[in-house]
Amino acid sequence: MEIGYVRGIGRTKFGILDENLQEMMYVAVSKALKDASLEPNNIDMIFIANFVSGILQNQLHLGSILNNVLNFTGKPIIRVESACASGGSAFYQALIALNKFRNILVVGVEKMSNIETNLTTKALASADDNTLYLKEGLVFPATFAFIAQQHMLKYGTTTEDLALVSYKNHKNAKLNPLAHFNYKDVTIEMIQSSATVCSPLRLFDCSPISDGAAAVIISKGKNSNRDIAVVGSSLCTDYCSLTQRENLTSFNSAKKAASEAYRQANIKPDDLDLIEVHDCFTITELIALEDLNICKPGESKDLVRSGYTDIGGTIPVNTDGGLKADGHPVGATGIAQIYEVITQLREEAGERQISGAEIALTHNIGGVGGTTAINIFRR
Amino acid sequence: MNRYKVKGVTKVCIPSTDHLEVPYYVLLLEDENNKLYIKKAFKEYSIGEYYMNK
Repeated sequence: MEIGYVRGIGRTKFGILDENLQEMMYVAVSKALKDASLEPNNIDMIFIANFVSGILQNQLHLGSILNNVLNFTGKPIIRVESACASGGSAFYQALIALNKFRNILVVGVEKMSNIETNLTTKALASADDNTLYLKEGLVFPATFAFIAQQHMLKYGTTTEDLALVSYKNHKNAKLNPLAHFNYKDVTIEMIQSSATVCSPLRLFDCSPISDGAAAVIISKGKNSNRDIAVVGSSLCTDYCSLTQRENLTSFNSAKKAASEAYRQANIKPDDLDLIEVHDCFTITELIALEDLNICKPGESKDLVRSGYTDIGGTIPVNTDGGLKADGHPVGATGIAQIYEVITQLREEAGERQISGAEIALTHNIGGVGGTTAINIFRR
Repeated sequence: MNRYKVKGVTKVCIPSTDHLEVPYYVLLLEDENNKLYIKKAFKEYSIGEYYMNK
């Protein structure tokens, strides 16, 4: 059953941008309104997804800030924060709000590049339980380094497998003019010789610090043949910290959310034509394939080695370049994933188009899987 | 003195505001009840080795 329809999409380029939060939101929202053939006064409610603008930009109250550049005066605007899953969470909340409103705008935004990296690293660590671990130096890449290490010990996954994920996503980003690293030619040798960030993770295993905004407009009913149905949507939460988990190589929130979204959509994993997963680190893409039940635990490396996840493979993964190479402006990321699958399902993805794509899924996690939002779309 | 088994170890090479001196190590420790802990260290440990907390 259709939960709602995506009617309009828009986004900025991701990368090191000159624009501030409100300028980026203006661009993304204006494009989504134009794409949906709507005016601001046709929008009934707005959700804004954002993670760290309060810490890094000293700017909160983003609803009113958006209203400075696009006139939504009198409309309800609410900011949603669930770390890196802010975008997917805002979209989930917007679908619930369709019970009350006809047209809902969801915009995600983040500005991170104009701040010293060590401050940004600390801000991102606020997605973990900092009362327990920030003092012990457990920055975010270190947490995912542990996960990668455990996966390697348990299943024989190698750093070469992680490099293949990075290589694929950089290759896809070359086909996406809006991607952070669209300009960059990346080789396996560059990936494997890049600097260690937190062993065993190297620089090319990590998504970049990006600026950007993305927006989608959802409606209750179908208004044109370009509208794409939302047929499954679930959000689940788990303990914040890795040390409270029974399984260090899987995210319970993702497994539970995926199971419920598949049930709502009445599909099986092998019905999917493409997926966008939250590759904040390369290991996370591998774990996503397992949590989404596309393969058994420990077998994701085989899919990547065989080209199963390539454009042209059985289930292409992160056709826009993913967080790794499209970029990771945190609050915008979950919305950008939806932007990509809608573009694909409309058959408007140009050089990276997946021929005949009908069903797609987005997987957006916050923290170390403390929150996961899964959404499924059907043409 | 408590004894913990080193279940994971990562060498952190990026500084953050509260941890400017790099590299350092973060240890994933496990006690006898399989409870997990995180500990910062400047000495490298191997997986399977024991960490003594004084």
